[in-house]
Amino acid sequence: MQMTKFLSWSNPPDLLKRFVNTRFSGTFCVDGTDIVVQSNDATVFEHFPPTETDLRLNLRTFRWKLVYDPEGPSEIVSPIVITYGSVSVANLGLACLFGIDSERGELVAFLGVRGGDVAFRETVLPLLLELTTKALRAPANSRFAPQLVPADNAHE
Amino acid sequence: MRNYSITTQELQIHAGFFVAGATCKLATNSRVVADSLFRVGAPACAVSPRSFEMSVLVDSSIVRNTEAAPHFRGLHHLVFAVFNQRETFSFDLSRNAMFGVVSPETAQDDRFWNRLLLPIAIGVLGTMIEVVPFHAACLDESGRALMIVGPSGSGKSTLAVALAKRGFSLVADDWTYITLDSGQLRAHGLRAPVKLLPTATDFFPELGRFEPAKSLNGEIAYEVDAAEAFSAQFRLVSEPSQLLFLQRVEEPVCDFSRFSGGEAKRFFETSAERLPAEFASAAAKRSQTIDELTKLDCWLIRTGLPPDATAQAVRRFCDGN
Repeated sequence: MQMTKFLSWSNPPDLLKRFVNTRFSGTFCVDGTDIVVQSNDATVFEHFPPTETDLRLNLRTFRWKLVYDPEGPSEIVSPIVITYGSVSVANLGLACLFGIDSERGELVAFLGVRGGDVAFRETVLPLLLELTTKALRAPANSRFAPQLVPADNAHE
Repeated sequence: MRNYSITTQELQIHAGFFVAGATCKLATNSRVVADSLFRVGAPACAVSPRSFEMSVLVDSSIVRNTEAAPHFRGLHHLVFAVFNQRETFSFDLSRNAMFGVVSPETAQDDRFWNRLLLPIAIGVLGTMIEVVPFHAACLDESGRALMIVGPSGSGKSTLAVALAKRGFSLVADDWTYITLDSGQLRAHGLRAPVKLLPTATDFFPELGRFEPAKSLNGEIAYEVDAAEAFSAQFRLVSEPSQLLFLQRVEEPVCDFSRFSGGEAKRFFETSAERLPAEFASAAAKRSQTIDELTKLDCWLIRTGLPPDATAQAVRRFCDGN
């Protein structure tokens, strides 16, 4: 008996757009570190800084995952960068959201602009590189854990 | 470019409160935020085995735009939420932590914390700390919970309110959070306002003294405190005993039939959010919770009756069981 037709049997939802296929990849070098990039947008690779070092000499690897997000509003505004422990998050309005984790050596980004756009070249990529450079130079684990106090002392 | 560094020096107010079966360890620079959250959660004097960190910086230079819809994205262990255009919260699934910067207006907006941020926080981090979110209303009677499951728009909230007027205590009208400890299931709610569509005035004249407004997902709806609007009793935790899958039909009938646990399990598994591979163990624990929950009595209720008549039928059904 088909009792459940009213329930949707779709695949698990991907509300956060986590599972976008990032089939393009490339590598370049920053500060003696290999930056291994994955993206769903082949044009992001056009503006990466030239790499003169032999990549194989670098011992460290940092991973970037850049997702072109056509559903993201494309207006770029002045960035807000928030750092908490080893994680920094930047938003340039809703168009571009980045997260960078120095402890894990990862940067993930949703980009409302394509790699071929001027905004990517002039605003987004320099910020990605700046945050990555900062992450590479960050001291080891600087995270903190808030102390739990009884509720009565919450406002002290 | 504006830079914020959220550190212990910045956030000097530390507190803990229980929310949906977990301890939220709050750090903030604002008493107003702590007060807002304390109105939602119960004070915690000890850390529960399930906990997450919430760090909130209030900055008076942030200007919020309440017309902007919330925006969510996530990759790997990071999830980003942007509210009011410039207020950002980020969730770190690998460290069970969230942090963000808000305006003073948002800091004192109880609706933001209890209707939006806490449900999202538990929705995003819950599975990591073994608090599994289920899209279901939940009502309690004598410590036993009846969960009402159904797609959006099926009338879960309306039926929940009608049942709350018939002696059930309200645990949740939309999202119920389930924990599993040594085989013991518990259903938790957030005591968030109940959301009802404007047509609900046909069934609940009490709504006449409230004004519908644009809700956080853009719908025009009433968002009311069920205790204030309907004199409903709340209960924050209960023990699940039955699941009712709610199906709206055109005919003026209300009948109950057995719903197989296997189908119920499949429904929950397929509607649960996919997680990155690195969180496979959290996903497995979630499956275990779904498995235990769907071993309970599961029923299908097909109804074309108004909420009050449906509630009356559910009341009789529960009394008969």
